[in-house]
Amino acid sequence: MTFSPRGHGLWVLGALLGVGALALTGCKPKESAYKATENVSAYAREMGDAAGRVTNKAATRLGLVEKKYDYVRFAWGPGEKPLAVAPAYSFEDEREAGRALAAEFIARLGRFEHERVERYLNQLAAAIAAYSDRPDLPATVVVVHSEERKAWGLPGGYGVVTLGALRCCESESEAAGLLATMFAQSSLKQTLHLLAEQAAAAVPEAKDKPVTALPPEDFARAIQATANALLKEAPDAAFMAAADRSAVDVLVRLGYEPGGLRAHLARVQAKMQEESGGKPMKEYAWFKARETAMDERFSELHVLPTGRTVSARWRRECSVQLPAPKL
Amino acid sequence: MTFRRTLAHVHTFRIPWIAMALVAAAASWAAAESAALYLRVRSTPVRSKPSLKDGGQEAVLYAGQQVQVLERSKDGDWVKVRFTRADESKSDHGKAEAVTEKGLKEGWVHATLLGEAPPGLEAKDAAWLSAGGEAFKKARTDVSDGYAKARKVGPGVLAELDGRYPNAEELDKFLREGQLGLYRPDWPSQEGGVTK
Repeated sequence: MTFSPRGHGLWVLGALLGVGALALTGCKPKESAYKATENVSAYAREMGDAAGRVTNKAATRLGLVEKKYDYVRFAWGPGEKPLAVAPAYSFEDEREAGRALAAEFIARLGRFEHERVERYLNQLAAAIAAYSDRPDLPATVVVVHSEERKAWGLPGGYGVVTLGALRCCESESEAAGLLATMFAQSSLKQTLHLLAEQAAAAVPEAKDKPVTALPPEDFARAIQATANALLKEAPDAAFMAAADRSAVDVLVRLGYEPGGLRAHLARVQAKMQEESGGKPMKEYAWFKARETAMDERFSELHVLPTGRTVSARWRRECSVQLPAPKL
Repeated sequence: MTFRRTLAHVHTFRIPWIAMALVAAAASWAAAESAALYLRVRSTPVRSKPSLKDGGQEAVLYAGQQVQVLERSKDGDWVKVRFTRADESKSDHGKAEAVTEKGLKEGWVHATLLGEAPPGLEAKDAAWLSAGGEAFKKARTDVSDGYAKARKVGPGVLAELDGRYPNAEELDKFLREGQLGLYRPDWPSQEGGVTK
């Protein structure tokens, strides 16, 4: 039997066509990053409380948790790195600076005293800290009287959240997203970095030593300058993006609905839009940068919705305990 | 003659290299079998069996604690580890602790909570990891307390907030109730199955 060159060429062509056909039919393409992102956000937004009632088995049947294990493993990969802060702050200095800043926020805005809510939020924040990249950093949260929808992560694991921000959460996964971003600002030393900058601008001696080593009046100037910056200026979009990416990792590690933070941000934007009477929001680009950062992280992790919003506990321990907003 | 020379050459030069390579491979295999891993979350219970349901709690591991891997469960989701710190050990269900002759402890930990590198820890003595907010009573807080007093924030407000930080047991209860972290229902497996 002879083997002609023409016949040989046909064999090769046939083999190539076969491989191509197999690739097209046999291999299911990976879900695109865009689609995964859309799934997470749309699911979290649309399902809301009902998402908490979708069991894992049902969600698997619906194809919502196909690759549930891979993204948990990826979320434990190398995360965001804390910022380098000059001058160097010891762990104790960091805690003291954050504690004093917490006192400043309480002095300015007033503490919402409610033992049950405070205890619950501190447990939630501790869970976030426990599964973060700095598990030895204790998380301490104080709720303040303000209808602004904000949360500030302070140095040393301290954090301040407003009543307005809590009212904008409809499940524990959303609140966890809010607190995880807040904690990330602290654990990534973003606010400590700001404090060092503000202190150096207000007190020349603060360029060489931590604020805790300054005389009380200089320490007070540094703390108040930092509080002014935090209260009056929106945080740097790049810093927020890093904090949001870190928050997504922690949500995934803990097993919350990964789109919790995105759903919370969507709710905040909707409220702001409503209040502005439908006019374009000046914060639009800021929100967009944060959403893009989260979407990128979703696609890097190949994350899919879990529908685990833990809504019942949120309602019982926090949302029904909050006072009506002051009009 | 040439063949003999060649054989002698192999004997002289190659065999030691081959032996060294074999030794290195065996050493790396042995190292992989007893690899050191680190706890990457704040704390986790060490179980007497590769399961959250069966068996009891042998001890508690804390962030950054180093463990030696002894074996893996059949599905690979749990690892039997040996560790040295025994100061926080406790046993529920009234079972005896698994302490070896050398004073080392052994038990099962969920593999997902262990990492190859220690987490980024900065505190020198993080007593709060086990004791919670109680541990902050001993912390030096004169600078922030002085500032709070100057800003007319009531005495004890900051201490009360610090005290809200849960201890390891309270945190474990919170996670278990919410089916979070180690207790999430979609871990690859909460039951390690029969060990190899």
